[in-house]
Amino acid sequence: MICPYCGHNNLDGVDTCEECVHDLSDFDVPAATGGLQMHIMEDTIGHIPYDRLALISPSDSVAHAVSRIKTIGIGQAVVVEDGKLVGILTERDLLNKVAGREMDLNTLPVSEVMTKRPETIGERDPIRVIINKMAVGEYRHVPIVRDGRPVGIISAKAVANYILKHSGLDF
Amino acid sequence: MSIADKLSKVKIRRLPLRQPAMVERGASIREAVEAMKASRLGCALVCEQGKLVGLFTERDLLNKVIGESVNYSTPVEQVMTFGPAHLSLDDSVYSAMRMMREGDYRNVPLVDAEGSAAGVVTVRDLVSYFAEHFPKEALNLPPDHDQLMLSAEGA
Repeated sequence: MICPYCGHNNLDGVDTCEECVHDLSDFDVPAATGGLQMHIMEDTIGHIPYDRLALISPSDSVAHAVSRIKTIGIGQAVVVEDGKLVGILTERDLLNKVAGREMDLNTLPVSEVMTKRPETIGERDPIRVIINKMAVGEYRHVPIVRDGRPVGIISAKAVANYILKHSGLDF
Repeated sequence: MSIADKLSKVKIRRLPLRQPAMVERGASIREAVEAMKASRLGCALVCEQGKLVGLFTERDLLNKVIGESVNYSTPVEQVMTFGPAHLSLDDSVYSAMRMMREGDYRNVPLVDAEGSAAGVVTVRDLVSYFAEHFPKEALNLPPDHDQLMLSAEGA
């Protein structure tokens, strides 16, 4: 990477120029030229509608959690302890760890079935970050946290709909 | 090619789709669940002589089976969606996005030219496709996007 301040030819990806020590970290980030690219780079998570949250505790029974999820009409519950996010209970957890097994869901605690310490995102993160997390980590739901407290949950479906809306095809 | 061109021209069959979970119409819920786990997908295509007749999803499992008085040996056709909305492998990525949005679906079954069940496209396949369309913007990020390297990598 050629330093725009002194012209020194640095290795690609360096954060500071080896010659003049200017900060180069921003030059690695591609410049948004408009359209969908600009939206995913500059819009934040707050631009995508959040799903409603079903809040449960790790000591709640799976039966209670399933009932909460069904009542709210969503596909997952966020597990909190002292207000802080500690896990997420998704339909995939229920498929992989509960379905077809002989278990009493009234006594089985959520803590034994939930996904612990899930990947999270902040409201001010750019949308490209959620696309990255979902593509790389194969997540369909990522909780949105503010100071460790869940404030919403973002789904792959909401991200896909957002992209469709800004693709230039949505008319 | 712009993203709009790509979405409307690229066929669904070009996406790296997973092998779908498929069960016969007479299968039990347990068999459908095992097929979904094995394929790591959130739905199973229910077929009769190769033709798609129904779709059983994680949402069906949650709403109609878990916590309900339904036995896992019950035929899956009692809890599946009959005649689900579907697309062809040769339909565009855009048509999959629209169908998912309009129907509020996360999985869309696919059929081949003969109408036989041939796959499933998921909303996560679509998000991965966008990430690949914008590799610099969406894939080339450090594990922690606020991370600043304090020293050069390597020796």
